[in-house]
Amino acid sequence: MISLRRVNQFLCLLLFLLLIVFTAFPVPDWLPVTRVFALDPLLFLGPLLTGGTLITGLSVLLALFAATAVLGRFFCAHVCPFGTTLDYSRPLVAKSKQSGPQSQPQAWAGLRNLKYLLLLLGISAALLGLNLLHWGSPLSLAARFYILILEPFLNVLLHWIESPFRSLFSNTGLPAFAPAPHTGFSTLSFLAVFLGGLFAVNRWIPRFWCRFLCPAGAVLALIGHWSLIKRRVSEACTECGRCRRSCPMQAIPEDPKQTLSTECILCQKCRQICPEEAIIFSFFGNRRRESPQLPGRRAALQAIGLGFLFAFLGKADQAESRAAGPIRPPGALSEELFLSRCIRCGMCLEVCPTNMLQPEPLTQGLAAQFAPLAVPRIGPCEPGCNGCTQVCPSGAIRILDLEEKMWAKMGTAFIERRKCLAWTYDRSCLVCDEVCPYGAVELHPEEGKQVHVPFVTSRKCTGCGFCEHACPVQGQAAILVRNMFEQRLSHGSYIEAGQRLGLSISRQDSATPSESAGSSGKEQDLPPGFSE
Amino acid sequence: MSLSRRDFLKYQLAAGLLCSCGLQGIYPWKVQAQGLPDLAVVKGDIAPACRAAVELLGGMPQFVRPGDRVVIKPNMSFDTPPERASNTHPEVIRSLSLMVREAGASRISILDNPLRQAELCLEASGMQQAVQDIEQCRVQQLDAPERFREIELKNGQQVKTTEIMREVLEADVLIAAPVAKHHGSTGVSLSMKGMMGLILNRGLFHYRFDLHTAIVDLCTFLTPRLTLVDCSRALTTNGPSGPGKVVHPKTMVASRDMVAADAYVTGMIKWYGRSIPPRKVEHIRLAHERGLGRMDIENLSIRRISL
Repeated sequence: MISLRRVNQFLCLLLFLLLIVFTAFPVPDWLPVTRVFALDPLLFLGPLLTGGTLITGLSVLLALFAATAVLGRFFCAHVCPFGTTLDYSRPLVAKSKQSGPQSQPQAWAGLRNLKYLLLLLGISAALLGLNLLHWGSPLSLAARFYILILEPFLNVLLHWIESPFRSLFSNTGLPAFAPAPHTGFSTLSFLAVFLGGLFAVNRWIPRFWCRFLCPAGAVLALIGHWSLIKRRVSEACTECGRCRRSCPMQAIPEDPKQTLSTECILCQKCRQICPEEAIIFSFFGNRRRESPQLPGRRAALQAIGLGFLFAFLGKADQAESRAAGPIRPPGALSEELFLSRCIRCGMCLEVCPTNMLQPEPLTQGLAAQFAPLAVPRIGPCEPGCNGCTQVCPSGAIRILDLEEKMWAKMGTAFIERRKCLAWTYDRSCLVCDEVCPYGAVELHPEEGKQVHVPFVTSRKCTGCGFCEHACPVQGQAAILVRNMFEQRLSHGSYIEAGQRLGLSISRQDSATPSESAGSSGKEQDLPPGFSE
Repeated sequence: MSLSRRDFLKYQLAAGLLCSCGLQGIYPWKVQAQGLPDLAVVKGDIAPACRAAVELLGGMPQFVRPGDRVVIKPNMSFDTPPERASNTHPEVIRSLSLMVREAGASRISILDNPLRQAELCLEASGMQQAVQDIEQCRVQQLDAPERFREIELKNGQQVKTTEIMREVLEADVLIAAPVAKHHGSTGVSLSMKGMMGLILNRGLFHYRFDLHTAIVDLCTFLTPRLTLVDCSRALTTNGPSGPGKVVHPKTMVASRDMVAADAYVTGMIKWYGRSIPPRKVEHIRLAHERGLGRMDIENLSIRRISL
């Protein structure tokens, strides 16, 4: 019989995957991204401790905590998409299909404390302003796995499968179908190794992550220890030990009548396997509470110290990424606030239709790792899309409508004249002018130049990067978006702020200055593009 | 070997037919085409004007035979609405597709390699919606490399090889349906410049070759059988993307000769408020000099009507 747990797990993972699948532009307005990610017991801590802000959707989290106080750590076995992913991946790495009895049920039991230590480390680092908690947040990890690794992989796979049939399709007259998008992300191999490692250790110890490492699990364990519903063993128990060996969380100690409430995730495997049917999960029954196994004071202090050290290191090695001046998605809060709020779930990377948004690689420093970076050379920011502002669950990117998003200036384009085909090589190239959706690049005649050369009007430029993306020169473009003049507001209207600064960003600008520029020249000067 | 009178007469007839086709002629319809104008210029509402322009050239069956696979190349590279005049009007593509369909084409593909994101272009240009009820008719924005194939440009002066959309290479008929617009580096962007929307690597044209020569090189291979320039609106400044000054000539210009069509439109419209002769558009001049078509419109037969 399929247990309730399996149904729950399957449904929750399915809903999570549907959430990711529906996170595509245009974003449906009913999409509950914020509420789903608010379920993660860890994600609220980062913004709270680093920036002193509470994320929205907190009621969902409070409801989870309340449920945990009644049910215990049920989230891990029934809801958590990462836990389910680990469970489902087990047959891929396990020796045989059956998850048979473990030879050493209490193997590595001492590592259990690690999760509390990691939680302490994350908290202490966050108190000093470095948000590392997303490293251990299971929803973030699951989202990153599915968005950054599995989805691009499946796309490539589909592409291979589909390509031999493509000519067949094109003869059927079926409505247009676009080939699988070629999305790719930086940091992918690093992440693949990290997550691959977590999957691999499943071979020897099921739910290695949940048992020993998951700091979100640690939060729930602390609440769940005092839960009302508990595993209770009746006198029928013969102490055969089968439950002990089958428990995926090592929650049953030497005396099988006892339960480590901090470890029990209510998967009920022990109840199903008990030959005497001596195990029930209920409010009532014999009550044998044991004190929670927590790390000692010394270890706790060490973890806190390590957290402080990390915070120092993270702040220090931010220098390079600060110097480079990262371009963030439109509507991103000011850098410090943005990094403290961003939970690195990757939903903005998922929604971005041009693949412009990339996870920031580790080389840019610990503090900004995996945060979305806008890379115009890979893809430009579509004027008709505000997807990333709609799906950010933590408010690191503000919710903006299309008009506001257009005014949320990501940076400014600058022409690298030494590399520009028109400026240096006398070639009639206008690609940057052609692609600019805002009329910010214009061609003007310039003394000593045989062709019209491009200029950027920075008050019209929103930093979308169409120019950098399309620039036909090899390698780095001859027109580059830099984060100079970027607009990053925590509140208030981007339009108003931009207008105060004298920006004039618009798509419908029909009064064309280049027209007047063309006619203001000498009468014999031909308009751009024509030649004698 | 004996030759019967009947066979003798048959061969005579066949040889005579072949001669009358001239050297260019394995296509019998070219014989009928004599006496038809080189250029058809029709003023009026979009759909009837398109139809009339093609009728003046002898009707769509002149260009498309039953069973043909047809590619129509509009401008739909921008996610801007029709009134901005940076894309061909969807109504033009619709009436062309209907005519092609009536002529019995087995498949109609409307293709472009967009500058903006494909889905947004399809939606904003109105192209997808305009043809969705026409059977066997598809709009596609292609940019995936494996949907292109490298071909040799035998008559290319600078461009010797380029990658062209497979669907275009497999098609029987190519129809160019550009919008009339200004272009900052090529003067105008009409049917000839529009052929760059069927290749993969446009960047090379800008940074390796002389752009104008490269366009002519490409057009020696991608020569549409029919060109219809949509001058219902024209973007006369700040092209090719705009926004710029849009005028409304409400005219369709059709020709078998892409160079003649481009040349006529160049002369017909005031760019930046000025009349500019087609020889000042370098790729038109080069195409004329290389014999790809004619820009001396004063020597061509033109039929103009107003509806």
